[in-house]
Amino acid sequence: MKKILCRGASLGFCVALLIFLGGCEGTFQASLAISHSFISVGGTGKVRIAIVNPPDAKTLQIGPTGKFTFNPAIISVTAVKGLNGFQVFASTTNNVTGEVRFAAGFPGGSIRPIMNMGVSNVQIDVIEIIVQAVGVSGSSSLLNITSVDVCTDRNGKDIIVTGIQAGEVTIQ
Amino acid sequence: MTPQRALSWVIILLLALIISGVSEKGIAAPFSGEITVDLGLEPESLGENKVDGFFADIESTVRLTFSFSGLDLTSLSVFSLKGLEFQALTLAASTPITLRNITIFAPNVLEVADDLFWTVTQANPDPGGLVGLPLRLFIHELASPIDLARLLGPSLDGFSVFRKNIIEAELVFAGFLLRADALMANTGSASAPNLHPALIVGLSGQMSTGTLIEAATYFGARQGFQCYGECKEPERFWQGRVMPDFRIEQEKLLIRHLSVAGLIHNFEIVFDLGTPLVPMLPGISRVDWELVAKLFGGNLELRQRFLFSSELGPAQLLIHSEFGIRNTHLALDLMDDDLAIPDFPIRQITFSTTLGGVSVRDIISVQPAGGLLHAILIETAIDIFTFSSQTIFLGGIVTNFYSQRVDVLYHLGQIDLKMNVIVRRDFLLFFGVGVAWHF
Repeated sequence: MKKILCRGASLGFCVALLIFLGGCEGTFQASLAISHSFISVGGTGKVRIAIVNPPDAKTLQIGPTGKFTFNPAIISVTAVKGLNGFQVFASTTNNVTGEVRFAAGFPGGSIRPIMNMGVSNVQIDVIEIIVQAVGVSGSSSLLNITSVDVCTDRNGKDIIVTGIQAGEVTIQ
Repeated sequence: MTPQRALSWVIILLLALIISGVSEKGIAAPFSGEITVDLGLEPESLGENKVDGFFADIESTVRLTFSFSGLDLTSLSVFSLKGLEFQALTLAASTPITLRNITIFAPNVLEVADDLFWTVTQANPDPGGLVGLPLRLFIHELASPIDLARLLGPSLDGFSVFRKNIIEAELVFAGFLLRADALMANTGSASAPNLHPALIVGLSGQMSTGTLIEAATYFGARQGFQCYGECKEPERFWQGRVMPDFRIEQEKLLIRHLSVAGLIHNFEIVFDLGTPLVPMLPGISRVDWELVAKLFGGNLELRQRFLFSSELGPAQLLIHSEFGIRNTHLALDLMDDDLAIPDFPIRQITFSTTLGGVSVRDIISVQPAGGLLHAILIETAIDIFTFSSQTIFLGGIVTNFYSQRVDVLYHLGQIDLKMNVIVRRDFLLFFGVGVAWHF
């Protein structure tokens, strides 16, 4: 019994120490990453928006203040849809000014990293944007998000989006 | 409670009473099995200091094997608050030909690819959004078990229907093992069944040097699995996922324990012969090559693995290097998610060791856009107790504490008692208790 208590206490101490070191206060920080894509002249392709370090992320809204931007002389957007449980509830696309706004969420669920014994995934795709090439071969369009209006976890608490990694579509 | 649910629970109670009665009278020799009951709770008001109510998930598994005249008849039933969500009947015989027949009934079916994240390729019924989901997102340890119940629950509202029949046959002939798996899967519904036949034929043999060579041909099926109910472990069947047409889909070649120049080679290659998936290497969907060197009497171990996969989505390459001295191992994983865009970032560093009966695994995962996850896994068994702890930091090495999971298992003769708790940084995510009776 003494051995059990000693080992149990050691294990508990280690866990408590780690939690103490990590801290239990504050708001989670995550970032967004937009993928890079190559598409043929006149062809269609996909670009994806991922949440990096998603702590049970449930909603993501870009707009009315923020916007997803692209160069309308190079590509046009034909569809916006959700991935990995996320659904796009509403979206507006302006292929003249090169702007997309959307509100998306995961009804009845949320996303978090995938931890495998093999290789983990800390970056989960949540939005897929279908684009069509309208530019000439060799041209490219930068893809960016100006700001995030809403990003919350499964409790409705804000997730602070600390950075946005821009993407790019290149016409081959 | 619907009549179907009520009937399900009555069946569980009757089975328990029959088995306990038979056991007490001492005539239970041909019977064996186990009954488990698990209760999972998730607070309704996550993040609040006061818990007003819980979402509950109750699940029971009854496994009963009856042995007679060299035959084993096994029934595996899984019940949830939806009623009977999975039923498998297995008849196994060990004659000169080893035969096993498994018949599966369930309200739903999921076809899942054998990729890193178990992507759902087909689902019926699909209440919406199941196809394309990485099932690992809901099955692995960071998720609450109730997330999985919530995801698949809407597909369990119908009655159980015939879903699959699997006939496995093995014959040892002239030093070779001939194996055949015949599948008949129903990916449709009760009113509109959609039957797909499939056949996997394999031949394997072991050389005097210990090298094992195996070849398998997939007709109407590909590598992967089908699962039913809430897709938990006993509800997954890895014989393959069926395809719409009965034609040769894949050819698999396996070589194990091939010793060349002091190195042990394990090799697996899967050729694509059916549905084109636009692989990076034409006609090849998977190459898994592992080299192992054991030095100084096995005390020092070096392991190198190259895994190429293009089963779904872009072609990927994983390079795993591992260095081990006795019970301590250090591994480094490099991964290119898309070979069309060459990039080889370090993806994961894993350190594992066992000291005094306590095993510790420390995993640091990174991704180029700033992704960072640090996991500390501790396991130990002390007499009749088994403890495991999982501590996760997200976005920091020892900052940004994200999640703590503790599992405790208590063995008491034929009875196992277990408890799981998952705590996020500022709320209780899941609390579960379970009991298993082995007889």
